[in-house]
Amino acid sequence: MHFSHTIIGILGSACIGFVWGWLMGKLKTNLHSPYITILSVLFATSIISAQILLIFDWTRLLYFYGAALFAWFVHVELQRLLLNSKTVSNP
Amino acid sequence: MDTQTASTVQLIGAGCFGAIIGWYVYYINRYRKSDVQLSDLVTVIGTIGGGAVLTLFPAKSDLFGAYGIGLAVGFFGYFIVLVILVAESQNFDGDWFLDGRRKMPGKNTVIPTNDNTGHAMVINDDTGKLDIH
Repeated sequence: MHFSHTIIGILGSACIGFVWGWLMGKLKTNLHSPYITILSVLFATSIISAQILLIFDWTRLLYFYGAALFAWFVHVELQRLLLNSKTVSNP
Repeated sequence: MDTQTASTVQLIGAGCFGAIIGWYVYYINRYRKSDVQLSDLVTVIGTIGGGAVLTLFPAKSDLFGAYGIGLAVGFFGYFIVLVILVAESQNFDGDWFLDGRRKMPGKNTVIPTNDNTGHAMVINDDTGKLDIH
């Protein structure tokens, strides 16, 4: 296996994870039906996971999940920081 | 592992295709009017990795990887451009990312409407309210 092939595959899986995690960070759970929201997210994530598994292999899935978790965390933290600064500047 | 090699042009093409899709995904997500629903997720799945993508990029090839890199470049590129524009603008600040708040346009400011009628919203100098002309 060529080195460039490995790098492009890993970066590609991770980049899709970054985008997916960032999108999930914007999800606001519907208080009336949180289970539906959670199930929808799990369903959608499993479809993308299956696709990565189909095109690459299970090792790329780890990069996808890791990147998605990282992007989700960064996005949620950014929103929290913005909310806190807004509360301070606009009481 | 059985792998397929792709030419540089193919890789660049797949990356550029992903960049356009990523840019558009952020655009759609930004202008969302309501909470995310299952149908929205299905649309995003179809955009990020639908049947067309699977058909275009064969398994075990670099093309899907290049597509993923381009997707992130387009998606976060849109976000970075937004951050730069908000930072440069006098009318917006970081709160815009939370709830879309912005300063009211000043007097003598014209906001063109997008209904092809030639109308424009103009700040009334006397009352300070918006009029349609």
